[in-house]
Amino acid sequence: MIRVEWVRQTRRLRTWTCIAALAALPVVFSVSLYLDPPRRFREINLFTLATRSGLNVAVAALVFMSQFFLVVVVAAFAGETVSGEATWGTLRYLLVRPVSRARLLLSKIFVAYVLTLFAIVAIVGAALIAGTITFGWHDPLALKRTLGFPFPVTVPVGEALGRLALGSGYVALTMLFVVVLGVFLSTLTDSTAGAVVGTIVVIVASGVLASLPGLEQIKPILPTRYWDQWTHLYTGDTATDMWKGAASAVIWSALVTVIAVWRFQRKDILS
Amino acid sequence: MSDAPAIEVNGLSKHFGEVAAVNDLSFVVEHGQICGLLGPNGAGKTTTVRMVVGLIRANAGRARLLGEDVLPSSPVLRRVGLLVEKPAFVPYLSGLRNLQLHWAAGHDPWPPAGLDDALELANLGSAIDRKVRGYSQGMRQRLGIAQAVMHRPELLVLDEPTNGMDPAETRRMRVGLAELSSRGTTVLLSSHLLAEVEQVCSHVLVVDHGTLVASGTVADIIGAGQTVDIEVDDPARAAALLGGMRGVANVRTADHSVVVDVDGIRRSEIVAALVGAGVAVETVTPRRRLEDAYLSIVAADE
Repeated sequence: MIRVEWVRQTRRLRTWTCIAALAALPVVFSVSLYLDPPRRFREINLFTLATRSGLNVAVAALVFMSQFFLVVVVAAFAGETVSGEATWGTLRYLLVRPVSRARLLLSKIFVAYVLTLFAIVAIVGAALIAGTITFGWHDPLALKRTLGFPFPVTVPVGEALGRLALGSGYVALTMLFVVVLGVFLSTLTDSTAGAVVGTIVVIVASGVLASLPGLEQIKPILPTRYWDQWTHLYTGDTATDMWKGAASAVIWSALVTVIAVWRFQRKDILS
Repeated sequence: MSDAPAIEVNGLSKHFGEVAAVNDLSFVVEHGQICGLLGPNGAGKTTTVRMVVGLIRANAGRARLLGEDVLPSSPVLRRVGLLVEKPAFVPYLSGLRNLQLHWAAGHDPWPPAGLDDALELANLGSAIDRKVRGYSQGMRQRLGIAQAVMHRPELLVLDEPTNGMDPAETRRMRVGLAELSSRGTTVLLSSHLLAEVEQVCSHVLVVDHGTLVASGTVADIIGAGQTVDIEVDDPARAAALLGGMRGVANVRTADHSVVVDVDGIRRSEIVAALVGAGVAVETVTPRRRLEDAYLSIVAADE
């Protein structure tokens, strides 16, 4: 079943166009930094450090891409899985084969997630290549807090690569929830656009709620609450909440997967 | 093959909100039959077909295929071929690739046993390797039928199988269905083309407002008190001969024939009586067609 879904997704031009577009944005970002470098040390953050090294470009690219563009593409991958089949009418033919609906749905989640990993690798890889071409391969800078103020410090390339891999893995884990949510919404509607937009709306709404004051009691359970914790690997802040973020991603993903399978097994196929 | 019917439907009901799409529907399709499923739009045919193959959950009742209860992903579905409403394929893949993916979803080794016969029936030639996006409606329909029959199913459920086909393709498909039936495949054929059903089917189910309103052989449905048109060399003499015959309700003459309302006598007995009296019989044609019978059944149900 995974092979069937894999062929269906990877033979589609749209899939590779989305990944190529994700890879193109860090290249554009890198070129724009080169043409108009940020005024360093006026406000020091991961973006103002980006001109130091290709590794810094990769970190900055992962920050801005994971906040929106990656979510949109992952929502597109996942939101199309079931609703796309319903739109084409192929869902009814797939479901008259002797294949468990749970297995079918899990296969779709798996393939959408593998494509998500491809997308993350494409972002980081393109940013590393473009950043290295424009700014060179030097020991990157990270921030270290002294008396509460961030100061740039040099990090050895090996350690920086390890942090980048850890950060990318963390982003990948947070995207698992987006995949599962997209597939779930895809089982509720025959409209791919509806499932994709619904997924984005939920993620954006969670992000908005997480930023509002006065909602401290519900913030810890919001699925996006800890999404940016991986940046603490570079900002000198304590990164211990990454464990909470990882646990939140796994729990939310498992919960929504169970609901999605339960719902899909009872769904009348009218498309 | 078990003794159980190919399709056994008992008290099947499905409601969508307040609307009863299918209401306490029961019928049986025996092995080897080609059974037409007829009914007006909205009568519940497609909902019935979808419940029978496990795509829709019934609110009440149950359907059994080849002696086994049908649930989503039931193993019995491996022995069933399906074309429901219209064929559907992944548009950016070739026809053959679509068939391979459909087959692979069931974890069965490629190719299925009847692939060559199915491709011959579909008659797509080299187009089978082209992307489905460029197919005409008739080509998609033929590919859909190939997909339904490529594993030599014991039971074939077809919904408007000749939709979009030209007359030659329709005839080819009709012959193909007859061949499948002669090899023992049971066919449930939902169609609006009553002439097609009359030519192809041995049995008919008529549903309206979600309930079964008539069932039986095609001859039964057309009716015992049927009217036949007998082309003879001497219509006046034939009319006089048949006028006093028991089982003949009414006789009237036409240009080169007599029109006989038959009531309880076999057509062969009428022909034998005419030939025995020296009247040459050219043809015997039922005047009342399935279409007439169907319309009267549905009208009576209104």
